[in-house]
Amino acid sequence: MAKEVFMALNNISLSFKGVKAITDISFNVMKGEVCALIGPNGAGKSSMLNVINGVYTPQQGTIMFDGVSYTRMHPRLMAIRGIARTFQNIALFQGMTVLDNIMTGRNLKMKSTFWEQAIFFGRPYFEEIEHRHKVEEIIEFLQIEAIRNTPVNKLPYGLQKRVELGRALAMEPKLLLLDEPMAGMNLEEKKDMSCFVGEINRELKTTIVLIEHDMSVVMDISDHVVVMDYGEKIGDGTPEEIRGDPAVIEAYLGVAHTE
Amino acid sequence: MDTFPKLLLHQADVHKDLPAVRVKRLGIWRTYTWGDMYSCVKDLANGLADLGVRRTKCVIVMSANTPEALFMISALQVNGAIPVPLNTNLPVSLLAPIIKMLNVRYAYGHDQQQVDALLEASEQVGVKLKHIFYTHARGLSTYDKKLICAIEAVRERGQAYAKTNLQAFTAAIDKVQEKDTAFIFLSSGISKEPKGVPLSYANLLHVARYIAKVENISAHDELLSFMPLAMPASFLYGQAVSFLCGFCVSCPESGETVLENMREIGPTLFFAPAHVYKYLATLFHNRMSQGRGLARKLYDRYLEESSMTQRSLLGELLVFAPIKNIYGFSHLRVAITGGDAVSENSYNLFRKLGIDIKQIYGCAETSGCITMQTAQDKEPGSVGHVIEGSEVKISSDGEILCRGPNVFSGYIGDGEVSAIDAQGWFHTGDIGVMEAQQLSVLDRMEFLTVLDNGRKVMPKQIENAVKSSPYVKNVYAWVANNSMVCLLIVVDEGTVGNWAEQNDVRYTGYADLVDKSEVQELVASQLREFNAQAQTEAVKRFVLLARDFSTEANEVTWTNKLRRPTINTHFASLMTQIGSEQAVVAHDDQVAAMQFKYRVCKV
Repeated sequence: MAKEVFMALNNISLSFKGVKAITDISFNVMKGEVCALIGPNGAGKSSMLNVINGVYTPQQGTIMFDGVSYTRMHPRLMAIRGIARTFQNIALFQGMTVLDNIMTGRNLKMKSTFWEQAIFFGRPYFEEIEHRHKVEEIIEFLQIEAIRNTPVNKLPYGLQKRVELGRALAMEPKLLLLDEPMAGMNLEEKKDMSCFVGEINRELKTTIVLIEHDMSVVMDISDHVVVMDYGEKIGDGTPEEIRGDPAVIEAYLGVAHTE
Repeated sequence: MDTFPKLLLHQADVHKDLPAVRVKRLGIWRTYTWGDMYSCVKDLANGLADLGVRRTKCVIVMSANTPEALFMISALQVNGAIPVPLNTNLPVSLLAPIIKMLNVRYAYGHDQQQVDALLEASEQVGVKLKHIFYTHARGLSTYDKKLICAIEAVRERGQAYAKTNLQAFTAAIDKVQEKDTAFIFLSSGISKEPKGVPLSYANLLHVARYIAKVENISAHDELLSFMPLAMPASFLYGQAVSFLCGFCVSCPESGETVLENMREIGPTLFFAPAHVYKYLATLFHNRMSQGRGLARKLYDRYLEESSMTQRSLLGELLVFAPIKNIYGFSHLRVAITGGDAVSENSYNLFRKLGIDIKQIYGCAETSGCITMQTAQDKEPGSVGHVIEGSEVKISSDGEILCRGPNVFSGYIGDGEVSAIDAQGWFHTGDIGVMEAQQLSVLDRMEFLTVLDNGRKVMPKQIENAVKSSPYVKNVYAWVANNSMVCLLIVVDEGTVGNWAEQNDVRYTGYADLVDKSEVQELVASQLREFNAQAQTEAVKRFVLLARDFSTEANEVTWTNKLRRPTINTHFASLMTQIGSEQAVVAHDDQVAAMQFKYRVCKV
């Protein structure tokens, strides 16, 4: 099966006033792959995700996504085009239930107007049923039936992360951006999360770009690794290639931390 | 109507539009009527017949409580094949010998996890499975399509098959006889390797008829079936009694949602092993102990004055009805427990709520029931009187023997001398006493220990008594150096955690909690109280374990019975050191893959 380029980043540069966050980075993401962005803190990984889904506008460079080229991205537009994401720090509606939080992911797919929804008669009613069905499928997929009606702020951290993933999935994205999905998790939660990421990729055929620090996880679940350091790309290849790349090892992987 | 297939035919006839099975899918309860069930089972049975699943073939079923599993099992029984229900997370090492022993060629798994286990296990023993059926396709898209087969595809095949074989289904039902094997269960085997226990329709229906009669069970009852299918009791109530009476069996959404599903369904029948009652009672204790103000005052007052027979209307209205509603016990009529005895504290708490728990005694070999308590005659501590049509006698060395239509015909596979003697008595291996028609079970024969001073110790008696403390979740008693009763204790994290919070004891996690001297003193004080009251031998030393006994590591059965030999080997280093005078002992825990330093506490 010939691989198709799903997203191509060409010569992206981003700076905040004088600070250069990303310098002239290009890489491709193939359709259906899991691509991991790795690099030390401050390497510009999160900025890169923010560029992809349009939160930041790069000063230079273009992004080709799903056959269309962009120089300016807009978060809402990119969400409509099929990019969903989760955040490094959980960004859920803390007082709302798990179900309602995931339901907000369906927002863009709802066609009824504000006033129609306020009256809740006719179209919104049937829409609600349809969307609830989809949300319930996600709840089943992520195995969170037991907490469906629990407010998010009562949940442990690992489950909140899972709920956030659920909300991103509710958008039925073509491309899923995960910003440190496993940060701060214990071993078991990490295992669960890796399984879910793998299943989303295989079963739902979603292309995934993720940032992760745990190398064993990265090597395990990704097909393609991009290494960044100080805003520059210093490595790009399969996990095996990255593991053997001297530049990468020096910058990141194998440096012995002397304490 | 002496077999399950015939009973299904009958129910589909008289209760065509009444609910037979309910399941919560995607957040909504969906109902299958007896008519729906009939057509599902018919399609499946025809499809299975077409695939060659015929009479006397053993078929492993590894599934959660789902309608599909029940349909599958019913369809297998129609074809005369024998379902072998196993736990969904049975390790491959235990699964492999079963496949070999029963010469299994077909199996049913709930999802990828079971399919993987079945594939690996069959490979290990060099058996080539013909088909593995499954319900959830997730993760299975790349598997060999000739080998694995979705349950939906079996149904479609069955529909096509029925077009050319019009009478196949009814003809198959007619062929099934009362004496045929309905199931093969694995004996819970707390002391030995599990063995195959075949049960016939006659065995199971004998018990089902008795329970249905004494409890007046009708088509309007409700049951939530949440226990693992590997337990014979799951099918005794969820299939035998249900098919007999025509009531609806509900399946929980998942293992974690059982409490919520209980509340939604509000069943009239509740069957659970003792540890579930203990869990509910503890949960309840914890929640109430956090109550404040008026609510707490009302609760204390009415709980104090309430009993099974004397219940004030106001108390019922203000306190008990809402509590029962929360737990889904509002409509509860019959509460039954099997396995171990329900501890006195939990038992009394349920009675104060107006729920009278009835004890059943039995094992897989006796279709799950030998004796049963009834509302009219209940002796605390006993397990009731013998069910109609069966006999029980105590042998000269104190063993409970049982004979009757509920007793199976003999084990499969191990070539051991039959468990049934020449006169037809099945030797249960339990020690018991019969007083005024009421049986009391003391312990397993092989665990009886005689001390140096000549006194007999039955570990289970001590364990049951100690377990009535709300702080103790699980306990293992043994005799060290032939003179000292020692305990391994697993404390209840909820209650002890609460206690620690209230008494300003800070801890980071479970292992740290049990390491606190305050907590150890708390348990010691409970044991001193126990020693003062007990008629049994006094407890001398104990250790608080850093983890609970595990079902995966084979330390406890699904009904929470301790598997003593496994515990003996897993905790051997700890148990040999406890007899010495050292205060702190080291223990390598292979199951948790960690080393712990335990403090030996003296009572």
